[in-house]
Amino acid sequence: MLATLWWLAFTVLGIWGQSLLPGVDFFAPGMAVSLRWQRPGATIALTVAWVAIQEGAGGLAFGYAILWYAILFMLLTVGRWLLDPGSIQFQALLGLALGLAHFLLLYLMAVLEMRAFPLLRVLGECLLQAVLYPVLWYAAESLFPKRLKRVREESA
Amino acid sequence: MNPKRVAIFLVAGLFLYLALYTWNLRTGLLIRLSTYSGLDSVGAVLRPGSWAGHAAGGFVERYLSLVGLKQENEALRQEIQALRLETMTLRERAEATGRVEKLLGFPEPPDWKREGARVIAHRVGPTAILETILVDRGKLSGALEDTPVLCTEGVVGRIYRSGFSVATVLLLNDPSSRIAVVGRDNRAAGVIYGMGAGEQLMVKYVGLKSTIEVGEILVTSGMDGVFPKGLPVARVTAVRREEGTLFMDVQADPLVDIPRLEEVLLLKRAVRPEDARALWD
Repeated sequence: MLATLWWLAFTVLGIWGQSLLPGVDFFAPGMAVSLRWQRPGATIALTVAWVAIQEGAGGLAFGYAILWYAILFMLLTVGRWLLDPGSIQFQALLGLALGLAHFLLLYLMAVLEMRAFPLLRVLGECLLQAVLYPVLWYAAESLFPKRLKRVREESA
Repeated sequence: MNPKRVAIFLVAGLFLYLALYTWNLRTGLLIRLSTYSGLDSVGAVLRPGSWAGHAAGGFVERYLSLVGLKQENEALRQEIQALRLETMTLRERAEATGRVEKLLGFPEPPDWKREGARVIAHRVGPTAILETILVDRGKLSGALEDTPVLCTEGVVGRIYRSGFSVATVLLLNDPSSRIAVVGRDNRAAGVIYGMGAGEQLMVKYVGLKSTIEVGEILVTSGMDGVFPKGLPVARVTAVRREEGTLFMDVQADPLVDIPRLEEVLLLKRAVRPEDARALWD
């Protein structure tokens, strides 16, 4: 129940954040937190909800969000073998990788749909994504209830 | 983990993704699903905050507008007088035109119903590369795709994606927006292309022999089948005639102040085009 409420509040705040700063994904840090502390089923359910939100509210044809969260999942899984997933350095590196991935994915989707690509604006948004990701992750990680973290540690 | 298994997993994933992407392009099922779930939930989250923001902003504005109210009232009274005179003349002309059209056997133009909508957000999310706004009307209130959207100054755009209670409006300055227009005074026809946020609009396909002047208002021609005829869209800012081309190079400014949009009007057809065709048949 607590987890449901926490993730609901996180998603609502994320939607508001995305409305105030268009071009930035506020849910990505949530995936890192969820993968670290929750069962895979919970992460999958959250990702499905976030994919629906990103695709529904966005302007491109369906497909960007699936690739985006798949890349984030791969980076988090591979990164966990090499670095400590709880370190801000790892998350900062991940932020840089996500900034680059955001640019490449948007360019790919715009080309596939034969849409105009506002280069300067997208570059600014990628930079913002790279900078904001570790900040948002730190905030989410700090605010994630200790009780839920303990449950995961005990079950592991 | 075995590298071979990882490679197989990646290739299978990519294949599955491409299959899903092309299937959705053909059927549009996934995008409809995400529109009805994602777009509507975004609307449900943003609407209360947007309402509170409007209410608070309105209160401050009302308080501030008390200053200089008397002078503003005077100016508005004079404007009303001028508009009354203009309406009187135009009503006579409109009635005369109606009589002539009836005599010549012109078909009745289709009816349009207006409905107000509140802007609840501009671009939302990481995939928002199109110039769009979100409005608090959806399919439940009859706001379907391609419904024209305007405000008191002129055309804003058209509905691009519609959920149950929220819709995304493609603005006229988006590079994928096209609106068929005609000059209000000289009747030169062309097509307005959006060029992105903060950029001027481009008017293409205006013939070299056409007459078009700087400052002329461009209105919808109704030739695109989306907008009714006669809605103001933009004001011409530059006209260049270059040799070796068939068309003029025309630029225009939208009449609508897009970043400050708060309320819009949706124009809904009383009869859908396919129904109208059936009636004619």
